[in-house]
Amino acid sequence: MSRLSLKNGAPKEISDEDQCPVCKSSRYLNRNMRFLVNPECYHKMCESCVDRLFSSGPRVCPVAGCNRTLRRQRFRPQTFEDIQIEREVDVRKRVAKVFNRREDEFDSLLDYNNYLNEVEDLTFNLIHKIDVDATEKKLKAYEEANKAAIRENEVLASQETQSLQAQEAAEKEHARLRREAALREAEEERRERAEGRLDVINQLARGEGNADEIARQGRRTLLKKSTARRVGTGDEMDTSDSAGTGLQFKGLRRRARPEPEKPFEPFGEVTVEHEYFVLKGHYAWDFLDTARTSQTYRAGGYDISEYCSRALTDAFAGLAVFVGEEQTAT
Amino acid sequence: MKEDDLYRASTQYRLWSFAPEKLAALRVNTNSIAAERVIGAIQRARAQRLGTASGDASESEPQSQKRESREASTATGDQETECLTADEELKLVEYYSTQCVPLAKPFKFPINVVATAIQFMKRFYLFNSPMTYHPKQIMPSALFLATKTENHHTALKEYSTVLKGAGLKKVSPDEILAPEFVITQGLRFTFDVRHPHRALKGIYMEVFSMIKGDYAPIALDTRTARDIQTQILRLPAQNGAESKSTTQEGEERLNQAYAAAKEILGYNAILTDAYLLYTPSQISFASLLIADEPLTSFLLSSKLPSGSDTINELKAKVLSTIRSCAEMLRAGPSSANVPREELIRIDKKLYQCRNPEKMDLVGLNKAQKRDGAVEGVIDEAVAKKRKLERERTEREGEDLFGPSLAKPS
Repeated sequence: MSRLSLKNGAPKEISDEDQCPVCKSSRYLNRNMRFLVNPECYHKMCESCVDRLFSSGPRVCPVAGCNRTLRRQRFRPQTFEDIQIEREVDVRKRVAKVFNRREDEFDSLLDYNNYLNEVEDLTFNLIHKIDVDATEKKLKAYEEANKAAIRENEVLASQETQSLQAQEAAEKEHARLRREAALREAEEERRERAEGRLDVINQLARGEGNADEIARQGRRTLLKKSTARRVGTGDEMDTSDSAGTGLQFKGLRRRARPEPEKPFEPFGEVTVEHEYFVLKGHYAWDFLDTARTSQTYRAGGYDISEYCSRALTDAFAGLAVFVGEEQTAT
Repeated sequence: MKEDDLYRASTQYRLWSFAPEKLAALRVNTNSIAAERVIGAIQRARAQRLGTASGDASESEPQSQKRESREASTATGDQETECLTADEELKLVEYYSTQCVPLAKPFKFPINVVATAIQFMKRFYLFNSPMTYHPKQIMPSALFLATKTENHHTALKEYSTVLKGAGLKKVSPDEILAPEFVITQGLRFTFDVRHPHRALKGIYMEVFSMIKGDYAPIALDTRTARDIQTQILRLPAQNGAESKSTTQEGEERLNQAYAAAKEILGYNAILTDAYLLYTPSQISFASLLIADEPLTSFLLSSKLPSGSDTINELKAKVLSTIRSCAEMLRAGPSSANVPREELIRIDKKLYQCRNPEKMDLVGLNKAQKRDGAVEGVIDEAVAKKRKLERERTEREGEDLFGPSLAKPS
């Protein structure tokens, strides 16, 4: 299909993509052509045009009707095909640099969400060119007012990325060391095996003792060595695991360890202060003694002190409650 | 939370404690409302009877017919129905409550079951009238309910047979179960009754340790356990005579007082209005006060040691409350003084003024349940329709893929 369209002389269709809108040279003539844009106005032009026009200093954009002054330094290759998206990403980057508050700076999630909403409104305005002047002014004002906070958050963010990078590097280093150790070990084992075999052969050649016995002996020593090695490496692995450099996930937030759960409190932490009596551990009374000593009661977990506490509470709960007065008052 | 507040949190305090005037007013109010309803119901019944008599004489149960005819013979002549007064109602309820004690004897229930049953009766008849629900119907049911709430459940069958043995000839399991919900509703769904019996045991434990000399005084009390022991052993006797006793004699004295107080709590306390007017703690103190006044006031003064004016004032107030409670306990249930003829007269009078709509409790209970086809309450036709519907859904439920779909027209 594409070949057909080319044959039919429809180069106009490809001109949008492969032709520089300034110098009209096409990719057909220059294979290495690169297009650049300037975030000032996002008009596309080829590299050679940029070199040609802006090497001698700032100039007005060559596109008709665009009166912006462009500098060479700010030209860059396009990341996204859609120029609108390119622009939106730039705007977002710019806004995010100023509005870099973090969630933990807010009292509640609602506040943070409101803040995000506000920022998104500003961004939307900038992207869709609604009230640009007013919005820019707001942005400037905020930046001025919160210089210190913005700086602080920037430092924090950079620290975070640095620590992440450092962690990644450490992980890589650790993996490399492990790999090397494994290689070294394999080499060692191979060498030992060869030595052992050589030893057995030497002994056989010398002709001392029984051949079978010698072979068995050789095998046994080999086995001993290999198991010893295995145990040693196993220990090593264990220690490396306990050091905490094993598997780690990125992006995990460091969280405060949750408080150990309190024992369940069925009465909602209501405690009764005994105003009228002091509970003793033991009350001498035959009536209580039967329950205290009887196997029948004790088997079920019956605690006589519970009963004592209950009886005494009953005895004095409501002693100074005057029903006649209180019920007429209410 | 202090102990007094603990009691204030109970339903007994919140719903079932009254000032004496309020209690009386409540009873009068309940009586007047019930009387109005009874008169209305009797008139309605009369109108219905006249209507059915003039029209087709419909078949009804011979039992109810007999009742109706008897009622008609007494209630015709356009005389106004004479209702019970609040006082008469109270006497009747007290009498039937008293009967609860011998009724429960063969079961050998602990005291709290009977006490709870009687309190259920008392509480129920604060907001309901014997004219609406006859105490004779309510009492066995209340006792049965109390066995359940006090953890001494007896199987219904056994319960009804034992009741028959105890003197209630005509009581079927249905008749015991039928008023249960009505009672529960009348109790406002609060089954908790705080009794003074365990409280008395607590008091015994305290006084006993005082006599033994290993009592732990409260923070406000500056005396040592030894001081308290010597003081309690030097207490004057009930008759005011000076005495100086040994530990042994002190224990003896306490045991006697305890037995007497227990006796009072087991009968007088549960049958009077004490539960509605005083707290269990005050009732148990009052029962001990009757048995041994010096001992009780000594205990009270060690619990509220004289110091600041507020405590002295409080102590005086507590003591006067306990005294008035003791007065009430000493007097005992008023029904004991009502002559038998009077009770018979009231019962006869009640026969004339019972609410005809609430007489058949078993029927009413059935009517509230599913398919209760009782005449005048749920139509036979409605019951039949419901039954058919239920059968159909059951049949359809058995099909693996549900009922068949309606055929497209």
